[in-house]
Amino acid sequence: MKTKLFNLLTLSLMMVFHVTYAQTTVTGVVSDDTGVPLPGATVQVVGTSNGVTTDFDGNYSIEANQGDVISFSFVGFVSQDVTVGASSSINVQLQPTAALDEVVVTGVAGATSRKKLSVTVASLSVDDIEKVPASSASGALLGKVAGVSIANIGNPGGGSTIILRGATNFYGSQEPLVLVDGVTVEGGLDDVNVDDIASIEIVKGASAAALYGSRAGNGVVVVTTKRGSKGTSQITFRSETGFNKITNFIDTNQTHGWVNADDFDSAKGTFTKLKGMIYPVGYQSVYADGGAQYVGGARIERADNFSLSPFGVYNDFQKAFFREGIMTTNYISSSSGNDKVRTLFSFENYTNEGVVKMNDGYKRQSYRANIDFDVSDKIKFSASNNFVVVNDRSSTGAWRTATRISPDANVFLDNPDGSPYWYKPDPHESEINNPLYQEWNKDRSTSGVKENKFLGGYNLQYQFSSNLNLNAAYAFESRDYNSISDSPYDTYTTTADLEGFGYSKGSLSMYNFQDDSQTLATTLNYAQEFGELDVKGKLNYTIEDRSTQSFQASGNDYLYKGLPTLDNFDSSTVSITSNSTTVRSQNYSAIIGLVFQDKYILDGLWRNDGSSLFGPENKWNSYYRVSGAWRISEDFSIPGVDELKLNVAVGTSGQRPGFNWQYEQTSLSGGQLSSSRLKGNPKLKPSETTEMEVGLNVTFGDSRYTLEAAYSDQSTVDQFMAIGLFAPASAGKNLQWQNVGDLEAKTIEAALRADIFRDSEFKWNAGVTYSSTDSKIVKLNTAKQQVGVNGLFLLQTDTEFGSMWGRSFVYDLDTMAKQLPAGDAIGDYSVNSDGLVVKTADIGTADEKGIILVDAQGTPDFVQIGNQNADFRMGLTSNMTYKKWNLFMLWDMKSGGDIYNQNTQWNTISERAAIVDQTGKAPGDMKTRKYYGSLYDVNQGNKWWVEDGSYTKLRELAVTYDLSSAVNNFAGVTSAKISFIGRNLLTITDYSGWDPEVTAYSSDVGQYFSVDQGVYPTQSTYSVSLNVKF
Amino acid sequence: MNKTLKNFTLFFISIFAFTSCEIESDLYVSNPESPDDTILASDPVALEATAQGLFRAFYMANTSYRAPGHMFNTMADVSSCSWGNFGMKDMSSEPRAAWNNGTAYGYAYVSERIFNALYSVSTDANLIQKAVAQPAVFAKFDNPQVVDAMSKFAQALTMGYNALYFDKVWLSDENGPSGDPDGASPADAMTFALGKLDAAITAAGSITGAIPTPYFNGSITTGAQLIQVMNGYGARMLANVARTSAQRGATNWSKVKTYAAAGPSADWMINHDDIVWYDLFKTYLVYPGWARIDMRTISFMDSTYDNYWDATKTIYPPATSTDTRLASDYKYLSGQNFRPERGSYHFSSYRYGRYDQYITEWTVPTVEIPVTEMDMYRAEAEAWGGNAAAAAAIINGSSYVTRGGNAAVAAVAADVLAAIHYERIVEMPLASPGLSFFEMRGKDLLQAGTLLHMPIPGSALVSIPKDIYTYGGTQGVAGTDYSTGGWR
Repeated sequence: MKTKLFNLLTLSLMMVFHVTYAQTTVTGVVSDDTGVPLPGATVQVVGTSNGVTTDFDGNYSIEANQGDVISFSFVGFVSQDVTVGASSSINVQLQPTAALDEVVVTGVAGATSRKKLSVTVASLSVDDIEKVPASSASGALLGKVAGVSIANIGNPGGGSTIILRGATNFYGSQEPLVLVDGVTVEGGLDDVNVDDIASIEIVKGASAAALYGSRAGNGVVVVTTKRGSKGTSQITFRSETGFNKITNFIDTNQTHGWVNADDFDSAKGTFTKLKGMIYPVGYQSVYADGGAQYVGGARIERADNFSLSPFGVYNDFQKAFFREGIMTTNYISSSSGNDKVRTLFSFENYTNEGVVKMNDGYKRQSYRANIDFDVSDKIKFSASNNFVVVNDRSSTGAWRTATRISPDANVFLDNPDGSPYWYKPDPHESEINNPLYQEWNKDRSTSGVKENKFLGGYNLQYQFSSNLNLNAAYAFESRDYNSISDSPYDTYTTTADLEGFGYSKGSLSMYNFQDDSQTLATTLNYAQEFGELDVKGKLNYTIEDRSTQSFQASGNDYLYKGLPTLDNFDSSTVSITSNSTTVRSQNYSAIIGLVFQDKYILDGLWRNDGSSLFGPENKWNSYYRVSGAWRISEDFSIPGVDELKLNVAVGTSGQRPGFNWQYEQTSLSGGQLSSSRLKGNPKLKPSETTEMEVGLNVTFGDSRYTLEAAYSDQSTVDQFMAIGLFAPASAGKNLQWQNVGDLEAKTIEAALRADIFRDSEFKWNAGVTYSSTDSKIVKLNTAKQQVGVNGLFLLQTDTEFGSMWGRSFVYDLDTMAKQLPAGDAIGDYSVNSDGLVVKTADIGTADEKGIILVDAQGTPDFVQIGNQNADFRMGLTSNMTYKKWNLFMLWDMKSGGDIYNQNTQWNTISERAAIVDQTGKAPGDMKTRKYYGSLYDVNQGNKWWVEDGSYTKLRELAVTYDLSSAVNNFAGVTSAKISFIGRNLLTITDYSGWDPEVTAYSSDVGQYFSVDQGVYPTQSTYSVSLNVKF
Repeated sequence: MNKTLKNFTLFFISIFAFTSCEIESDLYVSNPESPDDTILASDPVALEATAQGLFRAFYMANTSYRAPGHMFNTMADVSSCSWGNFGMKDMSSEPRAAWNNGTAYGYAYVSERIFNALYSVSTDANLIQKAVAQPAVFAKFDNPQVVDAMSKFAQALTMGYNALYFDKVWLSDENGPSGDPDGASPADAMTFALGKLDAAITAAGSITGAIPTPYFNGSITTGAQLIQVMNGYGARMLANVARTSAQRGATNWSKVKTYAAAGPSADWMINHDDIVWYDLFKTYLVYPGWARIDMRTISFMDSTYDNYWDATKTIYPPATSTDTRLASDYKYLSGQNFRPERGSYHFSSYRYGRYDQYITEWTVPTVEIPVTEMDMYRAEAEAWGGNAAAAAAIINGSSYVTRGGNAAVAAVAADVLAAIHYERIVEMPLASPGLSFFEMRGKDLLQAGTLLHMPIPGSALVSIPKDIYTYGGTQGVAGTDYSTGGWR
């Protein structure tokens, strides 16, 4: 198959040619609406391949005949056609594209002006994206689109999690369907290079996404990449170099709770000498079970049980483990075109070391070839090819230890075998392995991830007439993912050896995942005007075919050192697993859009989806949408209002079940049947989201201001859940996937854009986005269920989806009165300085402890302890231009949305959390180590560890200077800009962790949750970018 | 017209090029990753493969951290751990608390997984037995006698261990469900299980060839060895089903003795490959930094040593003992890493070191049925039968003397019973999940409030649906569902 496609591609490439003609010379200046010259604008004689671009002063010169029509175009401006007359000088002022003049193509019957949309579709133009180019397409959406919730994953290449409006699934991803040039991208937006992007359309609601049926319940993101244009030859080069750093370190406890030795000072600077311990000569402040570094004796707790004793040595391990990591982006593209063929070729090389020391980090090369070939007047062919190569050797998780390790640990001491970084460096804690050793060990190994990905989209169009055409589109994505996890023979591990650690003899695990998906779609497009009635329609039939295959082979105990191959193990220690899936779907749909008198808009669609993922008894499911819009301002003149449109839509889309959910499952692994078994469900069907959306679009103030607002009320029924069965009565089966629940989500969102100043020298435009979503489980035909990280999230009727549940201490005396132990009086208790009810007599003593809230039976009560959903999100963009200077800012705000700070919970039991440190506290306010141990609550989910995750971030700040006049057309340069870019420069938050952008993946439901387990911290980035066009 | 025709031709050639790609649209797709129930129930190859995995499935489920073994050891005050993992801390807290049987409990899996696993293995065994009853299928097995014996053995183990762990058992075999539809009592379930075991032993007697490696990873290769192991489990299950000392006294000790006498004559070890055979029960109870050995266990060997941590002490010096196992099997720890606010009674100055090679190499065998276990059943059977001399003779020929170097025990009933208890605690504290707990349960030594058996898991109850109930603390019937005795 691939051979055929490559032949087709090669054929296309061979047809790239440029044709030029020579005629009389027309000259002039192209400028914007305020008179500022536009460098790089396209000037082309219509109907020919004759085209040029303006220079840095907006000047152009082109050969044309009298009577020819010259087209002037520039990104972000309305194109203008001018007929050549007697004058050989033509100056043109282009008008900026108003938001409502944009054309939307996603989810509608045909390319539709935003003015005539009956559903809500957000979009980002190349201008929005290029201000501060993100490292991936997902990052480009951050803070710029209302109703889009994005959280950075942090590690290089990790991308972001995206939720459009509210969550829709109990189980399964909340991520939207992603299409890039018509190719369904199974891996999401993370590897899409932003420099290639021409526009992004975001279909947030189920009704607008109805055209995408059973995969669109989470919304749809459609990315369109840049293409060559007629008469333009341009080379674009962008180079960005900078560094990432962590700017917010976590405070840690700088004291301990043991009695220092009388001769503590004698060891100061080398180790912390504790009373009761017997130190060997030459002790180096590390842990060992035996040998030269073994410390005998026992520590003596301070009588007051406070953490107040100084360490003998202080290290700042967050500074020791993290670094300023270099990131670079080098991008080059070449575009050209004539009447027949238009091409764009690009290459991007992106590297990001990350902020954890001793890692090569993440590297990505992206190659693109977009070709448009007008075979004839009636046949047009386009091809979009993108090849991405990823090499990822980022850190895999040792960073959390930086906040857990004692300040006096000697992480730099050599191991007994001379290798660096003593394996157990914390003198007081045998469980802590040296993170520097882990990183060093990984760095010297062959561990890493390599991924090759090819996305191909091919579209063939036959134009029957000006009203009717037929499209055949084939798209495929092929991902080849390989990872190696290699621990060399002499990798240390905890053993019963002398020091408490010894060689593991190593291990090797090799994993390959091949994912091939194909889509073949045939679409009949119709567009006709009947007097005042415009009709657009589409009939579509699509086949999808996706198959995945994975293999993993692992071996333990290398036979020969230094040979990281699976042949280097005794066969009895090698294990192999594999997995394969096939998913097929057929969909057909019909959509019609009617516009009467340019102001009354009616839209309807129906789609029928069949999928192998649906149970045999529910193979097909239908979706629909009915939507309408009224351009009120066309009927009523409202002072100051240029455009007012109201739209209402009702529609459905859905989510498909997971691959194996419908089947009987007695899993096989290593030749053995699993003893946890699933009963098949032939009736399993897709969940279905029905949305009612009301939207308002207003342009006012002489088209300076545009407001888009929408209210969405969506209900997702037939949610999937794995339901417990009674094994003795179910032939040993204990689970079954069923459609059992309903989830409702209500969203309010708004975006306001304003051209505040339009002066010829000073321009300022700004935008504000706002969104708020509430989602609630309204029905659950089964017992409540805990899901997510540590089971902190509850699926239960009348519960907000995303709310955290767990245990709680008692916070008030009224509650305490209801659970008084026998013989106690409420007068024995009071609320301490932390807000917890404790026994008054115990305050400040080692007996002081938090009291767990219990139910009538005395069992710890299970209560709501937080909610990860934000109350609302806002984004603010500001773009100022003064002469050749441009200042761009993006502020991102999240109000509310709790974080479960498990990292601090864990650090508290290690007594490294800052709250344990009693330094500087008044004697009456001091708390003991035992008290903090009680707050840990044996690692249970407890309200105490829930923190407000609100933040305001300066996401992007870019200062750009236009160098075009300075380079003065040197070496053919038509445009040059230099930008100084900062990302995540400022974070205002009360959250005590590294960063309030917290995501932790939970495989039980396949979703991300707001639980901080020491996630890779989000970094600030400082860079310089040079953008040159030839 | 010609131009239109040319365009059309070109267009459809291109369409053909697209559609000739191997794209399929059939919506009925199979899952190649899991055998379906029809195959599992009827295909002789599948049935024999399932039979080969029956014991491993039972063993791995039972030694998993998703089983009560770790928790039982701390409840028995044989191991000690104040880490919350696997319910170890919650269920050994003092005073003893009820098992949290709610579906939201973080360690609910401890009872859920073993409950589900035992019934899934039981289902497999029943399916195989159904097939065994069909001569045409039976004849197609490569090792029909092994298949027959192993499936009967699995029926016995699954029903028997359900009876050891839970308060109710839903009985079933190849003929379908039987017994009380609301669940049989542990005693009735044990009777049912031992009936299956006796049938398994008989069937194993027909095995003539070698037992293929997959059944036990080479830990059993002959029918004779298999019979020994079956008898070993028979002795274990029958002796330990009792919830109280009174019930234990009323146990059919003659039958226990018969089983034990026919049980393994040497430690029966499981071969591990660290891939599909491994022992997480021992791992987490001995791994440095995890559980420790309870002070009470050490005090058996050094009677001067506190059997309960003195909260005023920072550390204890090493114990001393004439029992040589204190030095060989137990490792002194000079530091304390458990949290005091969780109860200093969890503190200990020893960990178990007998499996250090296992937690370093991972592919060395670990014991599942120690010969001492059989010896002590035989001795206890003699003691309950009033033959203290015979009991003493067994003890004096056992590890009590051969490994421990202890002085011979006198032929006095009380001494004999004390020595049996001593030996079970000292020689085999972590031999197999539940053993220490069963020993303390059957002697009324579990601390007051300790549950005597697990309730049916809350998640299983809500699926019926039935109300969730639990035991322990003061919940359930005193002396029936939770201990009213205790060694302290």
